Amino acid sequence: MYENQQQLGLNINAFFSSLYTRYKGTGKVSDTIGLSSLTPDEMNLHVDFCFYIARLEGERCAIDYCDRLHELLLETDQEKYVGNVLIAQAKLFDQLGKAMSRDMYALEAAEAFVHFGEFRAAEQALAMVQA
Amino acid sequence: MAYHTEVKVDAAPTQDEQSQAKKVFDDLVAKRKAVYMRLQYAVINAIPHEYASTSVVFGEEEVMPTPFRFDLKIRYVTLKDKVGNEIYVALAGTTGQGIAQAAAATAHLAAKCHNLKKVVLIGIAAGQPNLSDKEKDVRLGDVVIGDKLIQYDHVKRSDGKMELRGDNIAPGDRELLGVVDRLRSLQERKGPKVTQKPWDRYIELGCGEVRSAMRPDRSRDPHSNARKYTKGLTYERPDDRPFLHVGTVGSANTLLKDATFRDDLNARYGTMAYEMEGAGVAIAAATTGLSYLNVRGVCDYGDNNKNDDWQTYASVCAAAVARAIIEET
Repeated sequence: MYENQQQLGLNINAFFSSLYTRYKGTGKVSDTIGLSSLTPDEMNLHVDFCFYIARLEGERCAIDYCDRLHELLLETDQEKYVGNVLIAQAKLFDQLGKAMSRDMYALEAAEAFVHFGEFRAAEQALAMVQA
Repeated sequence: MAYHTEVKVDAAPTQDEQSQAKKVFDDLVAKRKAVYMRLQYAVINAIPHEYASTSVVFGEEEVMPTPFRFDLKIRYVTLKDKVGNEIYVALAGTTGQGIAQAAAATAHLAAKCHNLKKVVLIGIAAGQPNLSDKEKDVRLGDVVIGDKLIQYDHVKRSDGKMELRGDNIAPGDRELLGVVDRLRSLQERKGPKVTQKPWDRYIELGCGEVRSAMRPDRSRDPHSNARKYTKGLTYERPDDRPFLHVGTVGSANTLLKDATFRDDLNARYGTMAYEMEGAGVAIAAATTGLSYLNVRGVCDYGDNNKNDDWQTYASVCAAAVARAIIEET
């Protein structure tokens, strides 16, 4: 059961469940939420979906989903969302107890946010770096 | 009705926004240094089974993130020293055989990992046999760690005379060689405390998880029945497990299958092992401010009997010894 349902709506688990069935079937991120011209809300949904995967199949599967999402963002010229994916991965590595990876991903997320002038988000990402 | 249009102009950043940006930039620079300066070691291989052995022996890999490129990924592993401190080691992957290829890969690594200090080259090599002196006999499955290195195909040839030019290459890292001496001293000791060497469990791990990595039978060593030692008879060394040697390594863009030439190199320069990447790593490391160590598992004797039977086992042995060295620092 995904815990963010109050924010996303009561039927979010059913929605994510059907997305996950599709993703499992093809292994393609583009078969989930869609990727052309993402809105910030759709991007947040991708990030929420990756935490749903983490609860269902474990952090490694969610990190793998994020890797695929990251690659597709670069292929579709949507680099502005790369920071969101990297910070999600930093949180997943933190849950796994992988301190070095948490720090690296949070740092690169901050770099990506700075690149697009999102200093508040960069500040939050840097706060995750414990080194 | 009055026509009204709203013109939106990007406002200049306020003083608060400017100071926030400056704080983020400063924090980013400081934290980048703090994070990446922990990554001081890298290991490098030439060919896939060397990488497979390194990968298995060094354990679970993670990927270093690259925000705007997806084709320049470098992996790293986390080891622990004796007191439990984490040691982060970048895995450069395979370079391909040859000195130029190894140099290019080392330079790429140095460009990617700015705070790197030491590169450890892990691979296989031909060993220098000595069938009359037990102490100097390098056998299949042994590991040679280079303290010096010559590039024996870097020569001046004039009127039938050859003069070596590749003898001014930087030696191996002094600190790591000191560690190697500490590990080698375990070979000089007896008793239950030192029966199991630090690299033995990693060899066991590698042999269990890398294809065709089990130690070949003694009969697969072409010299097993040819050794007639007249020197070093009291020298004790195991027959069924790797022995660590330190000495000069010969490097060249030549696959060596010539016993006479090999023995001539040994007589002139005291070479103990022969390989095809060390000079590239050493030269590129020196150029980029790194030090290096060359760790080689012996898989053949560089003669006409050369075959591939011992290659994977020798790769595992080199990786196991390299891990033991890094963890001992």
